[in-house]
Amino acid sequence: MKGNDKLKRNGMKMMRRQEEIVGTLMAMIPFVGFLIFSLYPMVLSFIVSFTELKSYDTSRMIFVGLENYKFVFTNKWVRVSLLNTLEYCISVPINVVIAVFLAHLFSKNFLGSKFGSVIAYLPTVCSVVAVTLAFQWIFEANYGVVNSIISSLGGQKIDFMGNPHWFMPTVLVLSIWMRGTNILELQAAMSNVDKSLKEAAELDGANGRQVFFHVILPTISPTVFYIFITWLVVALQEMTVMQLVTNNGIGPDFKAMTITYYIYRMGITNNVTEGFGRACALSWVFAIAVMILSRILFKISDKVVSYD
Amino acid sequence: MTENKNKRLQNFKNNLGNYIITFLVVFVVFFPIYIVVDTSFQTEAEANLAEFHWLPQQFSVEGYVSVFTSRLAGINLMQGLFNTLWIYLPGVIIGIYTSAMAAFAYAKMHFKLKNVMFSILLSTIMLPNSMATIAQVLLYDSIGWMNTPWPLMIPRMFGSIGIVFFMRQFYVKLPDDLIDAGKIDGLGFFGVFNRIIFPMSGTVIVAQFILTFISAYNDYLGPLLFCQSASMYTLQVALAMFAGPYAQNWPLRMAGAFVGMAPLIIMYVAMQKYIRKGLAISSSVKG
Repeated sequence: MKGNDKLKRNGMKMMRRQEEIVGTLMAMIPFVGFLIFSLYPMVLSFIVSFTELKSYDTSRMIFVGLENYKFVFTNKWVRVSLLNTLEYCISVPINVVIAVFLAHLFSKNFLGSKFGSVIAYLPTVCSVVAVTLAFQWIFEANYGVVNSIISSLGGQKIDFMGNPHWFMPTVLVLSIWMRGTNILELQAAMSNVDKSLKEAAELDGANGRQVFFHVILPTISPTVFYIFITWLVVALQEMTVMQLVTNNGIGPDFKAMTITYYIYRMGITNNVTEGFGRACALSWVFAIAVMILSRILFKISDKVVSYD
Repeated sequence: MTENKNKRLQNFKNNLGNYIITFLVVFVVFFPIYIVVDTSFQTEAEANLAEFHWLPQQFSVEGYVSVFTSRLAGINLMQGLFNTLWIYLPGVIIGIYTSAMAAFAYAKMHFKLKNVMFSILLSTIMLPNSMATIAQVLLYDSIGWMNTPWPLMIPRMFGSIGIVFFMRQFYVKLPDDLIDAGKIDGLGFFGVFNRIIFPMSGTVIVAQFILTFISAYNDYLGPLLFCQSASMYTLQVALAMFAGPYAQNWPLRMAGAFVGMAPLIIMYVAMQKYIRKGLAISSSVKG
């Protein structure tokens, strides 16, 4: 009897140890990936940000102290890129509102609601490059559809992508088409809203709008906030769209220059004149700013949003 | 009979607003896609007329012929599609497996470092990528990975933190009996995961696979930064590259754009049921 118990306990112990080792190994893989491919480059970038480095060869680093950070905080182009980036971020709240509206619309039960929700997500699936090509053509200065319609109505043709006043609004239209329709996650969240709550509210005489604002929106508010913050972080790092829409990456009156593009330009394109040091300093300053911003937003959301 | 009819009429009236908005949404979504298809079947001369043609007047497949057969700016678009598949698929597939495995460990297993590792991972999800990307160039250059497909392939194999969280939500809700049953059959945790847990996470896995594949397929910055040799251009880079020298050949560019979008559109429409189900299953507990 006693021996059997001991055996059992030993067996349990071995199982525990096995769980300890196997569990750590299984959980380790994404962690190791993060250490090698994200954390190490970040640390490297931090070191490089205090040096002058005008090639890929890190042994040629020359320590320059805070020189690069001084450059980041005083350079005119950093300011220009930052303003453009912020202007582009106007699309985020618009996209979130549209996406919430569409997700709510298509979660209702009417003929065509399912079809609508399948179609609505299509733009998110389309490749960024193909979509920018399409919008470049639609808003083309001479032969594009929009200008063709404008001139047939007797209006003056507009150089959407070449005019600094029109450039950002046109990019925003593209962004809203592509990202305002990203409704999958929101729909998933809405499908989990307690049906009995909705029915109870309806029985109490609440109309559709009241049900939406008092029952559905509070329940999905964590998802809405989460989506808002992640989309904002993505938008703050945008460069692909602006890069593709313009042929030189700068755009009319430098309107296409975003922070990420300027980092890329200094570190890669103009590596010989500007160098990695400045690029890394800017990417660190910007990343910390983004992190602080998202922290603050999460703190606010914790206060505003209702978690059950 | 008439009551039924009345009811239907009432129903239609109630939903009229919904129908109109749905129609508008469908119209707005299809408009650019329609313009792409319309232009892709025009001749170059027709596309560059001052007046836009809503239907091609001289139906031409020249654009598609060039896209499929000729080398534009150093690469054929089909070669680009092939490159996209073989460069990204291994990383996406293996990455989902490793993510699911880690998710299972975080959800159901007990080990000392669990909470520490998980909270570190949790804190990294909001880190802006741009902080790492520029120095990744230095890392990959120092280990000889620049202009090879490895930077686009290997890091993905380690899994993605987003998928780990997502899958963990799903695994947390699974009953422990499943694991115990596996253990009684003499399986270890790894065996339980491989034989029982992973096979039964089908819908969630498929949903994550499709969403990850979409983002990999659309990756533009990655190849632009790390993989600049023409023979390894992915579809996205090839599309962007050949747009330059053929600036006014809109039928060609639109044919390319359509060929670029079509595979994902088809895949999405065919699989959207699974994506929805997979997302709904694991997003029911958020927080």
